Amino acid sequence: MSALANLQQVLQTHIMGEDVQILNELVVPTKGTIDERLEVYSNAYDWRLIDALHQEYGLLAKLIGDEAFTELAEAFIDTYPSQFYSIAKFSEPLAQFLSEDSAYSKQPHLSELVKLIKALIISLEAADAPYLNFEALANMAEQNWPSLCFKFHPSVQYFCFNYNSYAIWQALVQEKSMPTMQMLKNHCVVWRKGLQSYAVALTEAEALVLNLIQQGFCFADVCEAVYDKGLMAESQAASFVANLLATWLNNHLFSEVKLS
Amino acid sequence: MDAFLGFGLGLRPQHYTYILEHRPAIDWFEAITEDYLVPGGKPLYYLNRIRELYPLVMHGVSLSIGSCDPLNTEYLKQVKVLADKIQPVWISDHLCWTGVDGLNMHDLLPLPYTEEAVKHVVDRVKQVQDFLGRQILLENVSSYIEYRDSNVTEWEFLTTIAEQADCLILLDINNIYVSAVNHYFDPLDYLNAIPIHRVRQFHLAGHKNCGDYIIDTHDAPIIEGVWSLYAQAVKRFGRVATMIERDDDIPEFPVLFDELQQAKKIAKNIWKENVCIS
Repeated sequence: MSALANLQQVLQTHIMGEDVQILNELVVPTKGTIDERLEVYSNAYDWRLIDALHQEYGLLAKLIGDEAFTELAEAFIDTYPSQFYSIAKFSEPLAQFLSEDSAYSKQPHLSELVKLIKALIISLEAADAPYLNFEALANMAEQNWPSLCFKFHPSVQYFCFNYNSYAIWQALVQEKSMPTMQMLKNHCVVWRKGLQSYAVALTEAEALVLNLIQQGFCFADVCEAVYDKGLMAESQAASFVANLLATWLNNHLFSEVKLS
Repeated sequence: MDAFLGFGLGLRPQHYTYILEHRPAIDWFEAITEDYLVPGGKPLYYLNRIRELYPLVMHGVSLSIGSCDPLNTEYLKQVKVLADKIQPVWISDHLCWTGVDGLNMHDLLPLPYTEEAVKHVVDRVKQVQDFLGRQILLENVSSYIEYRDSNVTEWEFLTTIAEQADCLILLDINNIYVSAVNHYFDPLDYLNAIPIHRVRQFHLAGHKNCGDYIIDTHDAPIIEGVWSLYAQAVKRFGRVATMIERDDDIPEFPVLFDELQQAKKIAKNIWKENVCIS
């Protein structure tokens, strides 16, 4: 290993909190001590990453308290030191950390909440694509409707949670009383409309429609599946799906429609 | 590359709406490169709209030009894509390293001023410039430690790299001030050693004085000592694009605008003094 590589490794290890012999590599400052100077770097390392996490997951801090959040952040930084060029990406493994770390895996809603918060950020920065409008649909001949396939905007993300994480998130955002954490299968969709990201809860039937469309199924297939799964009477399936698609279209969830 | 771009400010999301609504009389903005290496959406929407109104330069924090890890080609590709889109007047990053072994400290860590480090950095700057198809600007960083291995001064190190790699310099006046206090050197020795033709941009910023040392925090107004050093820099380097960086405790846009007027006033007074009638 070159002298430069060795020096960088030794300093980095020190900054990350492991006690290694860096002192012999450094000049004693005219004022103060080497330890004080090194602390500038090690403190900045912790502070910068904790602050970055707090900026993204302020709602999580609100839920568990600032002190507990800092503890969580420190544990995360130790387990998943940043491997990303951008500090904004450093938090990507946080949901995974919360689901696998013994101190947090007993609170599974935390991992789900983090996924939801991150999704809202990701949707804000997702690729641009045109929004499908009603005019494009109006140009489709009625006999072609069964074969219509819709493509979601790149910002659309679907989540199926096992705990009432969406309700907890909603209570945090709306500053309402916090529901007790409970096991509850629930669905939600996250997307961007204009320059704002949104999250909305979905019913079982709505989640099914979203998943089928994501997998490329056309309008007729979706209606049939909603009926087949027993989520809707046959007579109601088509109008249910059509109304849902109209709502999503109006909210800019679609970017394209084409014939299958 | 334009030699003189005027007086600019760091582009910060807190100011997007103000800039678009008021279109302040700013010559240019400096965008943090990494903030815009995203697929699309809000950050790029604002960047593109502001680019329609103002010249932009890209200022990165992740190049890690001095690291012993391989250059991050994926990062460089994204920088090039962004540059192709927004056509910045120039692209800058720091003379530092940010991590090794695949890790990132997200800090601008100093290099030892050695021949080995010079060769290492020069080779990498050449690779980056070849890849981007343009000269880059390297900025001097603030530092709190000095390595025993260093056998030249920081200004000799920076100058040698700029000359050998044929890159340009972003001279951070506050960083020179901070490092001069921390390492007990005369900041004028630094300024006077930097080749005039290499300097394309100045940075100005605030810092935190901790008594025995100073931390480069970018969270406060510029202090008098840094203004004085800036005046010395203008005397030596002439018309150099100048901007103020503020990354924490970011005030309303007009506060920074007013601070920038002070930089303009200092520079113009010195330019006037230097006008000769033959």
